[in-house]
Amino acid sequence: MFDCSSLYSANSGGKKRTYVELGKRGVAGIRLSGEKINGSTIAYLSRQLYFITHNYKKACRGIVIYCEKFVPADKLTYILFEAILYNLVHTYGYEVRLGWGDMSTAINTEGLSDSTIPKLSFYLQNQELYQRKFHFEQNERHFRRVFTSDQLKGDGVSKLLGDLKIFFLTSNITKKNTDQLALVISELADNVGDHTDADCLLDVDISKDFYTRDDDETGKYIAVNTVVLNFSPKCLGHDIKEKVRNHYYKESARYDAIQEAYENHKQHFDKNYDEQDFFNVVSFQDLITGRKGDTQTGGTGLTQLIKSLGKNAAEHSCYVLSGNRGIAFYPELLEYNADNWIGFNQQKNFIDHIPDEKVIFRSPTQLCGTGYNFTLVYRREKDELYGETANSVTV
Amino acid sequence: MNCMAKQQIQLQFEKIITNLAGNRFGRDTYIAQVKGKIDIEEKNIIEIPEIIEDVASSFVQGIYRELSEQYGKERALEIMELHSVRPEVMEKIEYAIRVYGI
Repeated sequence: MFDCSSLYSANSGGKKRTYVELGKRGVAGIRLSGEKINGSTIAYLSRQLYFITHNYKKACRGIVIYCEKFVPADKLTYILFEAILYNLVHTYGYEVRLGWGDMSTAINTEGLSDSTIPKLSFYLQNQELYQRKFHFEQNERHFRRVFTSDQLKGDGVSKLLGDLKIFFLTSNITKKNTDQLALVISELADNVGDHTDADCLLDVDISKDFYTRDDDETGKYIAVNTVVLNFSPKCLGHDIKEKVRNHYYKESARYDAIQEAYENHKQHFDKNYDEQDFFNVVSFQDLITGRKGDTQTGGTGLTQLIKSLGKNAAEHSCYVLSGNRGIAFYPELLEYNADNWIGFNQQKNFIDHIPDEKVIFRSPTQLCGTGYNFTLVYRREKDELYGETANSVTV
Repeated sequence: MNCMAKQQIQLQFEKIITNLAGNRFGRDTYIAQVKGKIDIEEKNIIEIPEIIEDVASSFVQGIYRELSEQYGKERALEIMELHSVRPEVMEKIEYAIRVYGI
């Protein structure tokens, strides 16, 4: 079951005080202000929901959420929001109402229009349809699946790759690029499934193709936005951290090198780069796995593919978030050295140098699990005129 | 090594599968369909069904994983060779090995 309940406790705020009043008929209201729906909004909403689910339990019958402006910062943000709404309805059984003052999207969040969020009241009247739409969608611009870990075993990823290629057939992006995209997305699903038994949500949308760029008068641009998300008790670098710290591996020069790198990086640990970041970076190293006793698995494929994707796109914004820490993927920093270590730094040196400053970031949301957010913008291949209003590309 | 004897091992997949992807699937395929038949004294040609139109680097890395752990990457490539009658699939396999390694 794809269940995001862990978001509420993880973002409960600790000592931060919060109070949500329970109104007549057991209805609680949450108002979300701010210019955008972003990581802070998700953290705030989760904190309020933790209070409601923890204190009122069944005394609360309904929750009304009102957003002054529903302008998501990126795809992962609205997907998390969508998962929360679905969880409140299907796991907790609350009556949920969602209202907003203004809703708008950009090239990287256009998929919101085909999510269950704008038509929530319709789906609440059709629960079966709601469940189906949340778990499965495939139309010209939108591809959604929720996989159990079993579905990603065996030939599951191969079938997914085939499905993604079919999905991209009708897009206005070159086949070379869509084939690469399909590969990366299926690799991400394989990667997520390999490290956890949690269910995995995959959502891909293709934007409309009328976006323009200031430095390109004739070009029209189109984006492919992808989220791969799981809610697992373990963060990205958790298993590998346990393995390295407790020496759960057979004799291995490669794992000894990780110990050496840890000692070097430890000297630079501070609020911007800490142990969790180090082990998140370790999880992308070749021939390193979190599984106990297993010394050599994994591969360089994923980061290499991400690099080639970024190089072929006109604009890109790709990151992975786990816990409240993230790694941003910059193509120029995704280089393995001769010994197949990836440093995420200009020195291309994992053992001696920490990642470049722009690579590691902190999120206000504590995500129990792992979420990949990929936005890749391409120049449109075909030249048909669509006669639609042009917008600027902002990723 | 060129004078090694050759043996062929034909891979089989569900008929709806037209792409091969995933490191785990590669490892599983090796264990289920190759490991019991492979002869390390011979060159083992692993025949990919004609219906397969794409092979991802992750699958290539996965299917070679156990052999390369045991014998090293170079020797693994000598012992086992992936083959498809489709030139474009062969190109992808060769590219995957050259660029991403095994």
